[in-house]
Amino acid sequence: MKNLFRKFFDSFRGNANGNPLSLKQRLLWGAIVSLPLFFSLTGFALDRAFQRSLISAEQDNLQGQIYLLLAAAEIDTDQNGKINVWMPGSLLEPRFSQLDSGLYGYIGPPGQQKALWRSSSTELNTQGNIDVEQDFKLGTRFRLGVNTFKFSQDVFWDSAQDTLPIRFTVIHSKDRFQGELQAYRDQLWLWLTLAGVGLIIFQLSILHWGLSPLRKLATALKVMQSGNSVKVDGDFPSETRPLVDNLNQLLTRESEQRQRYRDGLGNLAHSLKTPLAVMHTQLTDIKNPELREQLQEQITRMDQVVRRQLQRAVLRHSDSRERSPIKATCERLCQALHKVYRDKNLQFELVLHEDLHFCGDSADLMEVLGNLLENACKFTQQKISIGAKKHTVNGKDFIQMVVSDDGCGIAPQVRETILERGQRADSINSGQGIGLSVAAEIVRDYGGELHISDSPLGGASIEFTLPA
Amino acid sequence: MRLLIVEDETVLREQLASTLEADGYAIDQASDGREGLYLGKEYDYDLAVIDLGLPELDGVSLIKALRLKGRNFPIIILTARDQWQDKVEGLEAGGDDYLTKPFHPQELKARINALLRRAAGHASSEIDYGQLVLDTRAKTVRRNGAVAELTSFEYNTFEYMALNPNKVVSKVTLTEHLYDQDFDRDSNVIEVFMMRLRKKIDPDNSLKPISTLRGQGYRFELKPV
Repeated sequence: MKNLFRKFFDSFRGNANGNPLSLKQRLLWGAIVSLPLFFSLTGFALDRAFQRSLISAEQDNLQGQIYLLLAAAEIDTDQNGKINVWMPGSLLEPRFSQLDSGLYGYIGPPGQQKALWRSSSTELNTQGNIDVEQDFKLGTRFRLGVNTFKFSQDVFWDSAQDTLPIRFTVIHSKDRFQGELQAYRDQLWLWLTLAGVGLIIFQLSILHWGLSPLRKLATALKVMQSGNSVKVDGDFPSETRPLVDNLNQLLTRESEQRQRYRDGLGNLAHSLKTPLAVMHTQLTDIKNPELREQLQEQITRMDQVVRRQLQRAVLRHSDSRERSPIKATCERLCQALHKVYRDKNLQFELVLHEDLHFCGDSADLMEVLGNLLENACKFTQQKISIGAKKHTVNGKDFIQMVVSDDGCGIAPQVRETILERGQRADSINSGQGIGLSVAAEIVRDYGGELHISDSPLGGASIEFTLPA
Repeated sequence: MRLLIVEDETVLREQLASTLEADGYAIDQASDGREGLYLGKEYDYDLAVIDLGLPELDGVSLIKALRLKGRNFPIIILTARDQWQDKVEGLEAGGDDYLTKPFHPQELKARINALLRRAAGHASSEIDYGQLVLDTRAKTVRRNGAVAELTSFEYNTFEYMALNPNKVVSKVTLTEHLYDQDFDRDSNVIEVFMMRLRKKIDPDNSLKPISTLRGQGYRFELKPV
């Protein structure tokens, strides 16, 4: 039971996943808790007011009956001082004469057990009698009993001989009052419940309508996150527009900053590498072969460091919102490389679907594929195959890609080292020797893996995964 | 062969020019994209080496503009940016090959050689004409297996003629493609070279690789086997 309560109260703090309650849930809970409270109080107040007006009407009614009795009664004393009351056989109010009608009249002096006159309706009544416990007090007295209303009036009756203290009492059963009250209550609670349910439904639709801009914002953000848009699109009400505008501004600024960063690094690369190229060209003028070799080695090292560090700095955008088409990128690279390696008359085979997308920066995708395809082009005889398939593991989509060629392959013993920085399996071929390791690093940055194996075409096969 | 080098870094540009000139190429230099575009449009080059990061007009735009003007000589892209995006854009704009800085001059020479040969429609670096074999990589001409002793100008003349077969090549064209702009075109140096070349590669005058068309120029007559 204790746990049940704790769960209930915890549910106000957040849902089972530990996320805070949604705005809709908060407002709905508020309405669900406040509406019954409000309706209970309203019902209670209306009930009290109605009861009070019923009692007041009853009081007036009984006062009327007393007046009737007062008008009809004739009271006198005999020689012994005994008070006699005469009443006409039939009174104006027929219920006084009707047996057990619920309306009972009594006349007698206060303090006496037995009334001097009682209406014929009291024959079977055991419920009430004349007030004996109360002292004489001029005026009216109204009392609510458990089952009855009791109204009495004490008067001084001027008889011929004397002035007599006389009490007129009318007792009315509560049956009719209870019935009316119950009928009223039945109606009241029925309508209040209907109004409550109606209001909650109404509240729900207001919430739905009122929160729709926020839902729209959430959808727009999702669209943006999936890479289909670079900013939050759509018309928003004045309360959320500043948020959307600021968000868009932030996104634009971030994208501009990234572009500036890239351009800056590109310029840095240019200004570092051109002097290296100058030094490289001047090497041929050095006659001492040992010195030339040493300088050559140092220049190559510097170049690798510059290239690697710049690449790392530029290519860390695994949080990118872009969606880059894989087939189109492959086709562009294949066309470009086909031109460069025209003498080889390369045959590219693309086994991949049009709508496969890489969820990340397009430059990163081009870098991975460019490095791998360039390697394949260098070593292949003629055939290069590129395959891609989409897989889902633990609810996450990723692309499994294979680049294979019919070249000489990569020996198993160098496969691990070639993926490390600056390693090259074949030093005869041109290139900085870090293409494969750069590709592997980008793939790892995106949470994927890169493996080298043998290709069915006869050469090397590079398998890797990227987020879809 | 007349080459155009467009590179903003003066030291590198001049080094490349002198290295290539030493190999017998005629070189024109431009230090920015605009100058490169002017030269490229004005003169008919056999090949251009264009850096991508150029002032005034960037390399990609320069290549696009040249191709738009109908210039179809091979273009080698030089780039300091290793980004594939840049390389692909350069190649898509009309470049034929790329070289990332820093590079070995030998590498550039090899690429130039390959592109020139490819432009003439030969897949291999050795072109076999039966008794004569032109090796564009080693820059030699062999007759019956023996390497002919040619000066680099003589070799270049032969190579240019061989890579433009069955075409009438005027002395002016030959001069433009083989020598620097300040060369005195009125001299009969070309005739002298041609005579020496014929003597060296065809001493018994049996093959007649290059015929003279009086008043028009020369024509390479041999066909690869």
